[in-house]
Amino acid sequence: MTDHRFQIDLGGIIDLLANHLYSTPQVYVRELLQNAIDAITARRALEPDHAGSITIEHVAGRDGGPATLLFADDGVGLTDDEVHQFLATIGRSSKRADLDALRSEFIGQFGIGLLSCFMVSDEIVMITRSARDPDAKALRFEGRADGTYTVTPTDLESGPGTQVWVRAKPAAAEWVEADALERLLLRFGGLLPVPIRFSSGGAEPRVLNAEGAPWRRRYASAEEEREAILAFGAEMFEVDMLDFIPLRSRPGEVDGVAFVLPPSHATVTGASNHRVYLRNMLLSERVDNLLPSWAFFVKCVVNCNGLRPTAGRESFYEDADLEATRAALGKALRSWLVRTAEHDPARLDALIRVHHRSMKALAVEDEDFYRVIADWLPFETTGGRIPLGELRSILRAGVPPGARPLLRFTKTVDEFRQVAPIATSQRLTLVNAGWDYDEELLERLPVIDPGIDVEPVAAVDLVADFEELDPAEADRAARLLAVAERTLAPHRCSAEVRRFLPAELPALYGIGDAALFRRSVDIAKEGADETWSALMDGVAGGPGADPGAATLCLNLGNPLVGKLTRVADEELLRRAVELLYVQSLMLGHHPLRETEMTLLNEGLLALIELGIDARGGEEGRP
Amino acid sequence: MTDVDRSRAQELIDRARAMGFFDHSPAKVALLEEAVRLADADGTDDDLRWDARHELVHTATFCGFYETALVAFAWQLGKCDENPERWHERDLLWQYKWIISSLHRFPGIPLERIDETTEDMARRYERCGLNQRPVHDVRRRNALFTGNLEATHEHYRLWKATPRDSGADCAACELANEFDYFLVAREQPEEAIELAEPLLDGRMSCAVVPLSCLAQVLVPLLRLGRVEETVAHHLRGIGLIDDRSRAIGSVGDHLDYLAITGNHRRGIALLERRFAWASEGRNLSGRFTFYLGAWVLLSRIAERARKPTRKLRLPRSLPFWREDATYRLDELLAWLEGELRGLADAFDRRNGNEWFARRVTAARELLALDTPISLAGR
Ligand SMILES: Nc1ncnc2c1ncn2[C@@H]1O[C@H](COP(=O)(O)OP(=O)(O)OP(=O)(O)O)[C@@H](O)[C@H]1O
Ligand SMILES: [Mg+2]
Repeated sequence: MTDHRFQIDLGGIIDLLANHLYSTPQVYVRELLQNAIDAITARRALEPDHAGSITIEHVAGRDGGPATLLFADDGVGLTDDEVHQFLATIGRSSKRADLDALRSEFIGQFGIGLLSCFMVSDEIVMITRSARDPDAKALRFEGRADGTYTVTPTDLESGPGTQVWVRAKPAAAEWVEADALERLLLRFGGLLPVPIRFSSGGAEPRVLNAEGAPWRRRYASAEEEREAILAFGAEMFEVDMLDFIPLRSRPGEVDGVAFVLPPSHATVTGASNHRVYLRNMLLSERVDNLLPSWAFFVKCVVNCNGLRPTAGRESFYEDADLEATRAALGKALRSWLVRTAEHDPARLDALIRVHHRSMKALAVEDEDFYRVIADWLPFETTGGRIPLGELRSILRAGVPPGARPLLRFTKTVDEFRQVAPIATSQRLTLVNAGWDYDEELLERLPVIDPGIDVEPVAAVDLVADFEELDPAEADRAARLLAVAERTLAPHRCSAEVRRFLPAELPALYGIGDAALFRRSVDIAKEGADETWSALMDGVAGGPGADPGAATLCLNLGNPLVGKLTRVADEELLRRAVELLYVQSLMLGHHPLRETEMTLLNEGLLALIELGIDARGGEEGRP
Repeated sequence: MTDVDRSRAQELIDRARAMGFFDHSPAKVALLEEAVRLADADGTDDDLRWDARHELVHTATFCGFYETALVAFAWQLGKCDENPERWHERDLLWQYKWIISSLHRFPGIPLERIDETTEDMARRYERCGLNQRPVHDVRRRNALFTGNLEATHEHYRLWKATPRDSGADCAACELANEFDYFLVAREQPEEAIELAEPLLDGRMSCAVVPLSCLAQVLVPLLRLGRVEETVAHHLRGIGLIDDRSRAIGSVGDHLDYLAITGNHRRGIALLERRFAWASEGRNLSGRFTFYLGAWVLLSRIAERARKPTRKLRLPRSLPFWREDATYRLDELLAWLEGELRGLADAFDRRNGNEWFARRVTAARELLALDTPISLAGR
């Protein structure tokens, strides 16, 4: 038996990288910059005072052919040994020797970055001189896309460092064009602490990244800072930002800014794409897992030193470090909001007007935050859309001193629509908590404001608040009530007679959660076979299942209902109750069950008939 | 009038969609439920009724309102059978497995009914040219959750033997299920944890995974003495719960963890915050797991408490709710025990075994563990 070595088909690997790992051939610029920076970092381990610089030259191709690029650094270089070991061995990296220690210093780690050059070139030439050995000779490495390479001694005037020559292949001309290259260098390397010099057409090299990160600069005044940072945001994202929030986090070693998006750009679909630098090199413009999900109203530009990128360098590993970073960044955003609420309420007001949904999401998550922000959060009420602070004072004004105000809300939008007219006629302020987060927030309101009570109400509850009948009235309505009870029992609905406003409303159908679910089951069962019917009964039943209450409340204040109390004919009464029942169902926008459809159809005809009989009787009287 | 219902239903669907595909909040479910109701009340537009339900099945499932999803799905399936030209069953197959693998959660559903439905799923997959891999997967899960280990092993074998095709469940979910199998059915925690490594370290994830793994792995890791690892998993797991009441069972696992590690204040905060999900939701197996965790936590607190009472913010809907928020621990524990017994009986009667009763016993045994960990500042 003989052991064999895996053979690698470089063409296949390059194809794999180009099509599956990297999103565009442009990343060769990033990879070359990264390697240069890493080399300078490594050289600093030998010579701590070494400043380092990177020079890029663009040499136009002859006869309009594609250009040749030179990436030169004065980093640590490579020895003969290292060339074979690291450069020529795919998947081997000089930066991984001691993974954990070095992870905090180098950007590279996988030993494949250089291969990205093969997306734009068939051949990489590297001339390098090692800083490890003062007498080291320069070496010339030539690697080709077919998987062969040569190493030969050569001459290099300057000191230690590395030059990488990339001669673009014709098909890649667009990726090496001078203007495009300059833009890419600035985009990927704009934050690097090492100067990047660029020249094309033989001109004097210019430093591209003189300014550094705008949030690390010093400014004469807060206004100047604001202007500069917002201008930076506008340029970066091509959107005029509303505001900015400085970010800093020890986990992940993050610094940067979060820009508050204008409403048109903050999608509630979440996941902003953030622009993230790793050790000051642009990692990706599409990182979407860096902030907590509620933070969809901001877009960030940040640098982090302590997170682990995936090999494609477009996002981070979902590991505990990332989780901690996310938490810390969430905290930074939060405390900014808290501070602004205290010191600059107008600024916060403007922000919340636009982004109240995410603010509410955050308040649900975080009690302290809720406490601070509560008064600014808007809610829909019977008195229009008002901030909670105002709502609290309205409620407080409505009760005698010493008494506790009660905030009532409906759990669904549908209920709100049903109950709002009643509440208004009773002069109650009612909140619609059917929208996102509202219910949870209101339920937790007493925690942050122990002086207030909150209570969910359904139509049924309001009916319970309605005026009870006096004994004489109750007597008068007894017969109607008895017939109504009997008539509605098969529909799993009970009956009541009360007096309530508005008087135009003859009856009100009220239903709790459980009964509502039961109705949806009944309707679904109408089209289902035996098995599915059994399944639905199974989920609706079970231990502790509440059959749920539905109630039809007849309004004695309504003239028609008043007349009904005087009707003797039981058949007529029954038909009338059935129709009132169906009508109030429809008023509440409830889909009708088949049995209720039948009531509607038959009931109308029957009533007409009863009416004709009555008339006919009269007319026929001699 | 009907036209109002219809345009309002459409508006609500749009609104729900604007909340984003990955939003699985109760608020979104509420919007869609209302959309279904209005579309039905209108009754003229079957496309609208279908669309509303399609969104609802997805959102309700991920939110953990399995019963709501089931009812909406039943209507859709009925439509497919009524008019297969217009409504394509292929569009429902992906969701079908969610529906079936939630059936075991309702003790009111007899096992034969679960089997019948799974047969139906198998037939439909075959008819659409898909292999049986997801069918074996849901069979295995239902077998495992109903305590039928023999069938669990058999369906695992069949699942393994069937290659992935375009109908297969998402890879992260499959792995999470396999983790579950090794952990619970095989009782091989080390193998299970190793298997789940890509989920635990964040390399693989999806809308539902690794939320549950991060919770399930805690106590086994403590038992293996791998204490340090648990902290990150616990914190990350809690972070992922967000507003998905689907995670109610996982909350129970985290309560176990907080009890055993001595983080009682955190445990109480978590219990208070999520109690209503358990007591008001219809997901009974989730309720069971949460109550187990609550029982473990409160028992541990009672063991060490100097006072017989404790302040707790519990949902108003509980029969013993108190205005002053002060509860006797022994009474609370007795109530939980009663609930647990009731649930365990119902499940075990349906399953014809003692699987749930044994889970109650296992929870008691947890109290033998005591591994203090400081989570302060983390
Ligand atoms: N400019 C350079 N100066 C010195 N050494 C270099 C330079 N460029 C590349 N190397 C050497 O070549 C090796 C391979 O580079 P490559 O970019 O392929 O991988 P890497 O940087 O280690 O990891 P990654 O794939 O994450 O970029 C490096 O580990 C380093 O030893
Ligand atoms: Mg590299």
